[in-house]
Order: sequence, then structure tokens, then C-alpha cells
Amino acid sequence: MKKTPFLLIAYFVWVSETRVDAYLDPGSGSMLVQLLLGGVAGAAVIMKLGWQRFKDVFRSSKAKQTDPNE
Amino acid sequence: MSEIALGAEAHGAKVTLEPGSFRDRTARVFYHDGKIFRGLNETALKEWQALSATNFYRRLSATGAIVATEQRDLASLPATSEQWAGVLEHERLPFVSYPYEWSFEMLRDAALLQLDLVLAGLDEGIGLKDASAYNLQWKGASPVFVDVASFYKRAEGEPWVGYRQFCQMFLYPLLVQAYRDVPFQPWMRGNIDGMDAEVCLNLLSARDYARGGVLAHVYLQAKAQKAYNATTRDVRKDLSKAGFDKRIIKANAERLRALVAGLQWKPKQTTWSDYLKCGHYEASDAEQKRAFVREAVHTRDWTLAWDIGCNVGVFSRIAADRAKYVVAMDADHLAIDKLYQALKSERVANILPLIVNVTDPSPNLGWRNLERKRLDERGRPDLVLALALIHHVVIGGNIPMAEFVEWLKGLGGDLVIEFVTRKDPMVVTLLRNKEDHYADYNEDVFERELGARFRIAKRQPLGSGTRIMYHAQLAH
Repeated sequence: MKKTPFLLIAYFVWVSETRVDAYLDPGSGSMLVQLLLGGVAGAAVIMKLGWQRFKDVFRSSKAKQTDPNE
Repeated sequence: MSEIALGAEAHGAKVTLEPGSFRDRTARVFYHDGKIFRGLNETALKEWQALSATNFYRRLSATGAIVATEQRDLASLPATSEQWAGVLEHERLPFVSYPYEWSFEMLRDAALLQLDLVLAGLDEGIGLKDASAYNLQWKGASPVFVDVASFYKRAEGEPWVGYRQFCQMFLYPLLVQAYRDVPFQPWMRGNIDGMDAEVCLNLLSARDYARGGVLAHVYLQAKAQKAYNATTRDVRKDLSKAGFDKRIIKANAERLRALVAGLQWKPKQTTWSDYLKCGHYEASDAEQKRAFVREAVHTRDWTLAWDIGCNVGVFSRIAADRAKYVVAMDADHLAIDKLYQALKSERVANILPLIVNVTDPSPNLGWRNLERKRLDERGRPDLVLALALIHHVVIGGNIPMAEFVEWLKGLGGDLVIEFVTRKDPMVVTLLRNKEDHYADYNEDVFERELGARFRIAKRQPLGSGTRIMYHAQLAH
């Protein structure tokens, strides 16, 4: 895939530049909600992530004792 | 001990760490020689160097939205126990305040500034590490962002790290106030991290789900947080790989901005609005009172004045003629909200309105009870106005007269105080449904207690005969 090198670079830049100093937990659920509120660009990321995985986020909390994706 | 001494001495002044500045380990606020500094580690120094070169930073510090900051030579400061790579000096703001002392409009304006910083930063690749309401302070009626170490060079693929915190510290408190008329201040005072999505959801009713922001920011976020609470997946990595970009943050922040700007708090009637209708003063009394306060205020210049029980701020404004800064306090949320709006529209820079109940003032809070300081540790006044207040404190609040006067003395300033006698209709109203246990509430006891602690420079009964004004000075 053509995109792979770019994503790899982006990943390492991101890990090296930002993760080190992030003292605040942005919240996994909150990060995913941002996609819903992010207009067209958010929808595009949702498609890439896979709708199936994404909709698990909002399933009944009863089923959430363990992570659905594990 | 409220500050941690680092043991280093220079020019006779110690370096003391700010005990509330520890969450972000890359930088820490400390004090030296009456000035305020921020030590930066190597990473934070690089971030600062990049930030200070941007138009974003130049523009927003020029407008005063970001606190005035200069880099200083490390060698000019005494060594501290931590090895900093660089040090910044910040402009010292006249009085520190906390979100649980702000009115609805104040929290809203602080929220809008926070969002504006997020949006403005995006274009220049700058992100914010957090979105704490404690990163904002006030210069009169203007919010100022004080934590320059919050800014960092945002990498593509990075989500808005502070979104959840923004909701907890700004959006949810504003929503419950606007939609449910639930005061947010006790929640903010009760939890240093603000209000959880789940708690906010519980406070809202079913019909609120149809109102702006509730479904997405509250309901879905509460659900998502629950679902992903124990996940072992690296969601940040997943998002980055899937191409999360700044347009998502922009769309979200812009919608949030419109939501916050459109929120309205329509309060039920409060003591304050009753007060305006009743008009407790005859016109001549009101004029005499203003003249008395004006004369006392004009005896000299003042650094910091407190107007306790300021109501709509008539006397705070008189104090502001000769005081560098006035903190105008009242327990009534609506009174402070109205005062704030007036001061904001007039661009008054030296009066800070705060919600304070003097019989239950803000305590020390947070880690080791040192993160947020009690009210009187944030700056002692050299002038105190306590007008039409004492009956609320002694009769309404059941505080013994002698203790109240002793507390006023402890503040350490000149005192302009109004004694409201038992003949006054307000006192009659306060006693109407109470057993009269207030033998200490009379003019003789008041004068005795005042005279034991202050020198009474001037005493003047108002024309109606039910109120007496005093200008009392500390006997040195």
C-alpha cells in the first residue's frame, strides 16, 4: 500500500513528539465521540476504522464487562 | 505551610514552588522575589521556543488573551532542586480566582476563550495538552489564559486531547445551569476535575435530550466512556492510523463554540432581584451612604479592596476610584452575573466580580489541600467594604458578632462597615421566622466589639435612623 510509509512516519512522529508529554488521559470513548462530531472528516475516519468496531462503542453497557474488540 | 520552600536563598528571597502546579511534569510554577516564574524542562523549552515564534502566540498575547510572558536568564535566579532547561516570567495577575467563584457568564466567556485558542492554534499546528478551567484567570472582566506550557506542537493524527476535560470543566457545568437551573459552583468546588458525563446525564431530564449538545456531548460520551473504560486497545494509535486530522477537531470545536455561545441561563428570582424591587433605602440615605464611602475611599490609595456583599457593585465602583484592584464578592449568583456583564460591556479592568458566601468562603482544596487556596490566602485587602452585610452574617448566618468583627480585623485592612439596627425593616424580616437568639445583635455590642479591635475614625447615622456607617482603622 502506498499509504503505509506515510502512516508509519506519521505514527513515529506522533509517538516521539506528543505522547511523551501527554499527562492528561483524553479518554478512549471521548476520542471516538470526536469522530461523530467531526463532520465529513470524522465520518471518513469512522469508515476507515470500520463501522462494526465503531458501533460497539455505543452498545449496551451490559455487554461491556470485557472489551468487544479483544 | 502552604508553600514548599526549596531551600535556596538569593537576594534574601526564597524560591517557593506553587503547590498547585504539578500535574504537567514538564513545567512548574514557582515564586521568587514577589514575581511569578515557570520552570521548563528541555521538551517544554523547545515547545516554548516554537510557540513564541508563531503568529498565533504573538497575536493572542498582544490582545491580552494569553498572559504576558518573557523568557528569563536561568542564571539570574537562584538554583532550585529541579534542573530546569529554561525559565519564563509571567505577569502577576492581581487576584487568583477559581471556577467555583465565577458566574454563568464568566464560565461561558472562559469556555469561549478556551475554544478560540483551540481553533486558532489548529491553523498553525498548535494543540493544547489540556482544557482545565483553572488555566484561565481574570483581569477585571477579561479572561486570561495563564498556562503557556499547555501549548504544544500538534502532530497530524492527534485527536483533541482536552475535549473530555473541556466538557467536564466547562460544558457540563454550563449545561446543567442553563437547562436545569442547577448551580454549577458547588459541583466545581466539590470535584477538582469538574463534572463527569455520567453525573451531568443524571442531572438532566429526558426532555433535555432534545436540547443542544446533550445527545452528542453528554449521552454518547457517557456511553462511550463506559464502553471503553477498560479497553486495552490503543485508540489514539488506531485513530492516527485511520487518518484523524485537524478538520475533525475544527468541526467539533466550532459546533461547541456555537452551542456554548447560545446557552442561556434564565434564573428564577433571587434575593438580588427581590432587593432591586424593594429598594431598602430612602433616596437621601442612599446618597449619604455613597458620600460616606467615597470620603473613606478617598483618604488614600489602596492596593486591593474587597467589597464583601457587593450586590450590584455600586460601592465597588467607588472603591475602584482609588484602589488598584477591587474584588467584588456576593453570595448571590445573579447579582454577580449582572455585575460581570456590566463591567464587561464597560471594559472595566480593575474590578473582579466573584461569587463568595462570606459565611462559607472557598477553602483549601485538592491534593494535600494545597492545590486551590482559600480565599484569604490569595491576597489580603488593605481596604474592606462590608455594607448592608452584618445582619445577613449574624442573624442570617448565625455567626456570633464578635467572631465576625474579629475575622474582619484579621483581613488586615481599613474597614468601612454599615450597621443595620434592629429597627430596620430588613432586620425585622430576617427575625420574622426565627427565635431571637441574637442578644449580641445590637448597636452597643457592635460598637464595643469594633472599638476593641479598630480605631473608629468616623461614625455617621444615616438620615432614616436605622443604619449607621463606620470607617474603622486598624490600631497599630
